[in-house]
Amino acid sequence: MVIRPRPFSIKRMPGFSLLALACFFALYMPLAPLVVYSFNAGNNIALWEGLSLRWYVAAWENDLVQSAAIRSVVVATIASLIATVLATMAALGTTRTRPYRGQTSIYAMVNQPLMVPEIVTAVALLILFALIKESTGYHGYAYLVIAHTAFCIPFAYLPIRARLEGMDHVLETAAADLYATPWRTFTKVTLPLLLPGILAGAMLAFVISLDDVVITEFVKSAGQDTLPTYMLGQLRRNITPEINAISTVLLGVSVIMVTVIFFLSRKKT
Amino acid sequence: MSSDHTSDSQAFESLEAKAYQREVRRNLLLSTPALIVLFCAASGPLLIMLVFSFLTAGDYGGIKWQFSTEAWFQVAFYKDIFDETVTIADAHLSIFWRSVKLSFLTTLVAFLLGFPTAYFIATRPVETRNIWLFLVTIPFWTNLLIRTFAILEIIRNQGLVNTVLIGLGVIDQPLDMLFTDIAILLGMTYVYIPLMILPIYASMERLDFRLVEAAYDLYASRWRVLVRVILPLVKPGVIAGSILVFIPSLGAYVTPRVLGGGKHLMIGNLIELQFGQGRNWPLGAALSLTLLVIVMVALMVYVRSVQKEGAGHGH
Amino acid sequence: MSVTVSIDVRNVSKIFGAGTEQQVVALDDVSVSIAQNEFFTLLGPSGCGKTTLLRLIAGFEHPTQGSILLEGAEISALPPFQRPVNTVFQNYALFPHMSVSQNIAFGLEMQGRPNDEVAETVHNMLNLVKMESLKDRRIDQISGGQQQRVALARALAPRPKVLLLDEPLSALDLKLRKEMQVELKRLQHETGITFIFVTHDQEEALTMSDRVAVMSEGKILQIGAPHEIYNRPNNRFVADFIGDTNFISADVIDRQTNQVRVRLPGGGEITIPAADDLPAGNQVTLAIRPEQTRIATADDPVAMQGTLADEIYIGTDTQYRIDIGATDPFVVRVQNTDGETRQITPQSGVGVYVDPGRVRILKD
Repeated sequence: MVIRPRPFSIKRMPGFSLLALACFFALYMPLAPLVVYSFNAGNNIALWEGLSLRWYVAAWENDLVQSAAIRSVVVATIASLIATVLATMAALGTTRTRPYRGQTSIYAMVNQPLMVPEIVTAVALLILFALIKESTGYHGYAYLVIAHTAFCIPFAYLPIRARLEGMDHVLETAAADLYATPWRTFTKVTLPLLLPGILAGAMLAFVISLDDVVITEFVKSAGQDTLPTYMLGQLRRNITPEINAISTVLLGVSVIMVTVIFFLSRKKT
Repeated sequence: MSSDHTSDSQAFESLEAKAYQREVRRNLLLSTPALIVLFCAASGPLLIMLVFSFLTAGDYGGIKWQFSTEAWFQVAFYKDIFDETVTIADAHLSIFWRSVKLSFLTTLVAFLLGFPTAYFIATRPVETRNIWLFLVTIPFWTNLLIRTFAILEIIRNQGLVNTVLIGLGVIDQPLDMLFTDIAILLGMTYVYIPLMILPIYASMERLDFRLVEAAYDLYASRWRVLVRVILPLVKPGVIAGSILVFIPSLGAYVTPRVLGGGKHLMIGNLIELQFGQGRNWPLGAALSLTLLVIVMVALMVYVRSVQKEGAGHGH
Repeated sequence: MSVTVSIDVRNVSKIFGAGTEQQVVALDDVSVSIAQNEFFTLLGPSGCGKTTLLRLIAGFEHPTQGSILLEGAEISALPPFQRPVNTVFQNYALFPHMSVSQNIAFGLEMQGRPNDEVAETVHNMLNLVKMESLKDRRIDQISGGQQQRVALARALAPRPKVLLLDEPLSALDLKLRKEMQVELKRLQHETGITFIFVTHDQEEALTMSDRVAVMSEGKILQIGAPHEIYNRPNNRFVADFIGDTNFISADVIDRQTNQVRVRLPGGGEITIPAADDLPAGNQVTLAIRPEQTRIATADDPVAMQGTLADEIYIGTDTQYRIDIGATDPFVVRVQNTDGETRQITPQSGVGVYVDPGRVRILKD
């Protein structure tokens, strides 16, 4: 039997495919026990004692988890909505336009949260809000919402900007040629075509807000836990499979949202 | 023929200018709301933090409105309360060193694993590439805390890794991996590796493999091709990926907190300490600004190298 | 019967980046009057300014100098959505998120027409461009030729005073293009709307237009009916751009009020009937169309003597390239009528007959 030598492939680098597959494996492997153990019937997060949904039930019935979950969703919804509207406006003001003074500064400032480490922003906000709390005595939700809105803006901005840049100006020119005022051009042509980008931006902002740990941890007042900060607290004190259950649910939500964003962002030819 | 020809032309020159001004005004107006929010909750607070770093620490946390450069001094130095000798703050410096060291190592490991992965994806047939990218993206968008927790789960004494190793007979006692620098390194690499893969892939996708063909045609070995043809061509992506991993690693907070216990602090944890037990808000502010400066320097190095790339290639 | 002016362009200049180092003069003091119900073509190579002029009329740009009037009223300051002028774009610019009918209805809706009027007009337009069966299709589901017709219908539906067409046929294949040329001509006659058509294809311009303006480097070089432009080009560029031309340098022997006697290369002399304003000097440039000459028969006076360099058979015609001692060979084009095959030995001596009445003296 003759073993045919493999034809020389210019793209083949020895070991790379192995490393790559190992990398993919390494990316997903740690998530497996996390998810599996959320169904653990026993108390111990290491000893498998059979299949059970008890931890999901426990998490569901846990008041703290409930309030944290609600708070997470509420903050994420409000923050992502506001951030998306603001980001859409900012994208319209900085894309596909004749260059003007200050344009790059605006772009830099909009993307600033991406360049500054979260801990720095978190600390700065802590200080600012402490000052405000002292003088006004207000301890409510607003701090969380405005902090989240701010760092969500660049995440909403980038997909919207990308979509806008891909849109041919000539369509708006055609609309103007056909008697559409600038406002109607926007509502009838620009906005409908921009919508996939806006949706992708909104969902991205939502996921980012939902997942935020550092800034929320520093900015929240007592009793204002979001789901991630609740989990962080639990990790410090008492690790039970309840954390696995919550993690699995959050994982599922993230996966679904990312999948939807992925399909929305695909270029329609 | 119109006799007021010149005034016509003046009128129309300013027609264009007026239209441009209208456009600029519209753009600024549109961007303003976002900028206001960002100033209030992102940029502005940094200025307040700067002010705070020059104030005195309050007795029970918070500050006293009294100017002092004490905090900045304390970033790097320690003054003994008793004999007033000034020494270098070893604790702080070791934390800085750990942060830089671990961030650098994280970037390195991420590169060693991420580069082949990006290469792999870029050499798949076009239809499947999106799926691979999608697979890389998903972990990236899952909660940082969850991913860190997942690492915690598998490296703890009764975790998966130890169980497998003991089961295989490689070791008899569980390895103490948790609450070490290694644990933090592992955690950060796991969390940030997609940020290395995606930019490198972006560069690789644009790679013209005919250049690789030409190199092989000219007797280059695989290693030579890798080092002297492929790597230089994807350098922008490698640099971008490195920056995207290095900077967040430097400012990491959650991962060292969860995986390092209370003993292996990085800059982020040190900063948090000042607002908790340490009760030294100005120091916390000063440390944050120090971190910010280091990050800005790294970013400027990146921007400079990107510009050089552009210039060098004659774009 | 006086001709009503539809679009009047007066001394219009357009400078991009005026005042900066990189300023580009797209239009240089251009003036033209386009009549109502006219099929008017702007013809020229790319970069000549024809599209810029079109965009100025449409309102997408402002003139740097000069004014544009529509039926006597100044419109330079009006935004495009206030001008009763519609455009057919080069790449059609159809709205991808709307169907064929919705695209056609768009301008009418923006004008605020009542729904039943919109529906009726759309229906008529669909019939006009023969797209009735595809009215609910989305834009990406129809072919390029069909998209072109939708773009046309969309621009015609609001009954504009002027229709602007920016190289609308350039993306179509040859056969389709020829069909559409006939279609467009028919449409213009039927609707009576002024068409301003932009193209770089001189054959297209000659086929379809009532009048043509030849442009180059931001200036209009000549305006006239197709046969006028073709037979009486008044400068070298126009003569060269339209059809094939032989350019001959000839020495002036004798000038008189309405004729000029010149000596051609190769020795022959001819007397050309000429208008008064002739360029001064001892040399003139002559433009002679290849198909307006022939190989001299026994009875013809020989204008030029040369040697045959090439004989090229092109099916309908035969082209003879004759070396007359100038830099370029002189081209004679003869129609191949049946049975007549003039076989001329290559490199042999050949005489060329030129009809003095068909020679143009260029003012360059």
